[in-house]
Amino acid sequence: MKVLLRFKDLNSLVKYLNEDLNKLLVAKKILEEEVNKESLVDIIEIRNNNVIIQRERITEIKGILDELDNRINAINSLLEEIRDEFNDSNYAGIVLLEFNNGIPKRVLLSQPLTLSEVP
Amino acid sequence: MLIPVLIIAIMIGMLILGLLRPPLTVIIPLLGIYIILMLIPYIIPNLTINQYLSIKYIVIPIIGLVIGYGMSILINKYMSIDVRSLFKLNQGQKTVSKRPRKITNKQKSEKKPGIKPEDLDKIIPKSIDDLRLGITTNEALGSWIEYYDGWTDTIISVSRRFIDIKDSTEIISKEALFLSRIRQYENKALSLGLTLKEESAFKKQRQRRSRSKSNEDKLIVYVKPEDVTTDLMTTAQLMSGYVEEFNNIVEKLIRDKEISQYMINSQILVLYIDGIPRKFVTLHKES
Repeated sequence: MKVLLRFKDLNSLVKYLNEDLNKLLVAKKILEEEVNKESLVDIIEIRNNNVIIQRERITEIKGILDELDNRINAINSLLEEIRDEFNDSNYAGIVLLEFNNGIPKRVLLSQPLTLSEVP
Repeated sequence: MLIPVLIIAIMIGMLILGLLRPPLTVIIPLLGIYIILMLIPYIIPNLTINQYLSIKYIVIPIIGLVIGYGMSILINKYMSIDVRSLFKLNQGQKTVSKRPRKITNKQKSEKKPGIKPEDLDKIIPKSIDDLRLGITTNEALGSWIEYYDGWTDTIISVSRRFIDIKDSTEIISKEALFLSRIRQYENKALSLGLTLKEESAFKKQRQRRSRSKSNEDKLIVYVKPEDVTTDLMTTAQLMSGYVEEFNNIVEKLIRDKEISQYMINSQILVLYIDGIPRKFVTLHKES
């Protein structure tokens, strides 16, 4: 399944990716520490407008670590390729980030259509 | 008579060297050796080996090198011939294309549908983990976690993400609508003497630069606006339900007093599942 996120230019996409990357790296580090400690945590879930609180071992959610790694790798490759192709120059136009099965996989660039006189 | 021949030979040699455009680490030592040779009569005035061993002739090979270098660049630019590859010495290019090739391999191995028995050991626990977390098929924007020091930061960040996604979805919906009616617009525009055009020819120039890679491997793809229409339409459809669900969660987080009382003063891991912040893990600080 593919979905798209729209950005106003390439710089804002790069900013978004960098911010996300930082968040993921921090979260990964914290989660790994907690998993090593096998700490007990409270998990609050909002399901059908109800709040459910459960006390569980953090290891219950360690499966997300694989997802995190995939995501971090995907974002890194994207940032690397953007840097290769554009250095620090911007691209204003239609900038779309394509998520393929939940992973940010590709950047689609396009030009808006405008009206002009027939040559 | 021997020395002028030698100098001309050196010049031709430098010209060819220039055509190959070697890195400075090759050029500088060569030039250094040559200059030292030519400076011998000045360093040791008593030693006269030959009249051609003089400062005047230093310039000749440098000119040769510059001409060669310049020609190489011009040929590459205007005739699209890489002179270095004519000499079968395109090592410089190899290092450039190494990285994309690695990506190709990675993608290819991911695409392989066959499952090896040893992979099952990994796949089964992963599937169990996914079920436990409630991940469906990795839909929408995927699943991940974020960490925050406190509840206020969490709320701000979750709301910001929600607004970003909502705005993006709204723009995409509008664009999808516009692009899907493009034919209609085009006919109307034509009757007014106007034509639909892409805003600039920028993308074509860019495309040429990265022609070494095939289209499939590229992570950055240039597309015609008409060609993304279908993708934009499906996104608009899929995301509308998603945005609504996300909105409900954000509302609940902000309004529900019980949650905020519970969360205050704790460090939080936010678990996004299929792009929606469903679970909030409060970490107990060690005391």
